[in-house]
Amino acid sequence: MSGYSKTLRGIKISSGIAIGKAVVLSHSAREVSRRIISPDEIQTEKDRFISAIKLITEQTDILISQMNQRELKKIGPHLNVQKMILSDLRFTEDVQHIISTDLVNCEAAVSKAFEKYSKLLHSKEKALLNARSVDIKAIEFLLLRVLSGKIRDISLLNEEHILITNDMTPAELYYYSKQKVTGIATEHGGRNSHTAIVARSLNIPAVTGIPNLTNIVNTMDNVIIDGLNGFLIHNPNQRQIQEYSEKKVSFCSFTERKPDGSEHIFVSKDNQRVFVYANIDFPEEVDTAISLGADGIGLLRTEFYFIERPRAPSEEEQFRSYDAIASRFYPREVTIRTLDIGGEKIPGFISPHKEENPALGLRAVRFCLKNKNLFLTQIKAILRASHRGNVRILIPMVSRIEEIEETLNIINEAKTILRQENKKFDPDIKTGIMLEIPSMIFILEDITGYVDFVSLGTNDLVQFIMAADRGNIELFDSASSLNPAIIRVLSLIFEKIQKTQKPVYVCGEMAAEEENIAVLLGIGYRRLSMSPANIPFFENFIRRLEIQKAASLVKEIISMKSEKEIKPAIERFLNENN
Amino acid sequence: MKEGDDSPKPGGNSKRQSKILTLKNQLGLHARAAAALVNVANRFSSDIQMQYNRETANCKSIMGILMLSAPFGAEIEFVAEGEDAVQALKEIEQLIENRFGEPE
Repeated sequence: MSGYSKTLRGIKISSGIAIGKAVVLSHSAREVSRRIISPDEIQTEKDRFISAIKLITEQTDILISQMNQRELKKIGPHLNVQKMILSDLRFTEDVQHIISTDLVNCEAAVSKAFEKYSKLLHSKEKALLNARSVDIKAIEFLLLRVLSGKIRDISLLNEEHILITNDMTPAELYYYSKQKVTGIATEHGGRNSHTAIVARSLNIPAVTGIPNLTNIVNTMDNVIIDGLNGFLIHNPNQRQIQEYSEKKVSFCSFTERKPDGSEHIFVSKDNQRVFVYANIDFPEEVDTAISLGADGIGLLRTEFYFIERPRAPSEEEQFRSYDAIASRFYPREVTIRTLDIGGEKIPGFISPHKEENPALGLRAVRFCLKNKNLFLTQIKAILRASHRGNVRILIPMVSRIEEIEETLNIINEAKTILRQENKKFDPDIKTGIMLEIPSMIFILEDITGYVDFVSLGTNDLVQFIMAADRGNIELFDSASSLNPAIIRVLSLIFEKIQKTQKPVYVCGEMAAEEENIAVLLGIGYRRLSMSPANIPFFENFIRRLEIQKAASLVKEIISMKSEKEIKPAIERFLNENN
Repeated sequence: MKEGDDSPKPGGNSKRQSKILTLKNQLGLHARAAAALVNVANRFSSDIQMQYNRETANCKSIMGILMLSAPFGAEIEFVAEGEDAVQALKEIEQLIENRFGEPE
């Protein structure tokens, strides 16, 4: 049964693209039978419970025995936690006790026991969205699936499938990854859940947090997982399937072909070198970026270390993480963006404040300057990771010179403290700003006197210039990066920075679309940073592109008055180019 | 190890040991840390209980430990009773001092 194409927004937990038929593993309320039993059924229900646990434990042991060294190290511990919870005396006794005293079947007893646990945890952890309760929930779902016979052997399927489920344990994910499952989407879960970490280690595109998903999608529906943007496309149309197939094919073939990263050179057809950097959300993506030949990290987002945590990470913890990444990439440069939270994304350890308009609120550098200890700790950690000389600092959401001055003061303060503490760092560390608030365009000449480089955050820049949310499907046209205002602004910014001879980077998902790449390179930008999953697509595209001709294209479209004129001109160009 | 009398004597203080330890890892007793604690506790025949915030959990039960929700900085009293109580507390202390192998 096919219907209209529909894009469902979720949270991206593992990048990449998957296209295929959905297999829905669910146990929505109507499918799990919870019922009252008679006293002579007690033993039968207890036995069912014990054999379900035995089955899962045996299967988990088999999985563990088949793992290679790397998997054992990265995934093994998560599977052991699951095993331990299932064989836990308190848990098994609780369930059996509920069966015999409440006279309910095993499904009802399992749900009741888990409900009790999650209530207990929530009462203690308050608003904190904690990985602890998320992981336990996944185990409940697994048990219910096994009990209701919903778990199926999908190894017999011969097409690539995308798993749709309420939630999933790391063990299940690992198991399915060995079958023909190429992507997953779930209703529950978090960025830092064990399942998310395992998905990233296994390079399986995954999206979570899509409400009601298992009721919307039916088994055998066509779906696309866009792990780059956190979308699931239900019943994609022909155009979407084609677009995503191209991205996916280039991604797969490139990751498999060049594991050492040695042969990647990003050169256009007319022999112009383009520098390609990676945008990194999660530490697990670093290996992918290296194997794809990235020239460095253009944007290391640090929110991962702060969200879904009970406390802010210490300087030492941050230092170790940043340092490990900097050492993996050395001598290539690693640009670390200071914390970009605030608005809606406030970590649990800071008391949230309601804002009318979070996107225009107290976020990023504004937030950090008001939480100076947090900021100073992070800057110290970044500085310490710079001792090899390949780390740079990037300040997000700057709107005024004063913010740059204050931040530079904090960086100097951090340097003084580190000198007193006898800790190594790069005294000449380069500092740049993220250009994403339009005010900066008008004072660009003044700003470049303060900083060593500028990075364009195209996602926010376009949104702020057009006052349109990229994620709002109704505003698709308004948030387009191909309208005349945006093209002219991008060109103006480039000219202004060019005069200062400071390097300029483009960080944003603009580099994921052929049209945008042609425009950016045509204007003159040569340093682009993108999600690792987009790099192969990009490499493939620029090999066929003559940048000289893209420059002529830009000359032609820059005077055009509307996107209606611009789009066909770019399309013609791309067709001739292919 | 003696095989004969393995039941702790009632009131036999020599086999009852207790120690207050402070959690030093950032995430507190989360799932993997709790699992590591159970693994250590399971190596000993002693009964090992832990007390935090006026609640008690069996150190050999991961669910019990998780339900304590002990965060960073929590002071937990470990009480071990049995032949190998001293050694058990020593190894638990080591695990906690090493922050369960997590960074600072």
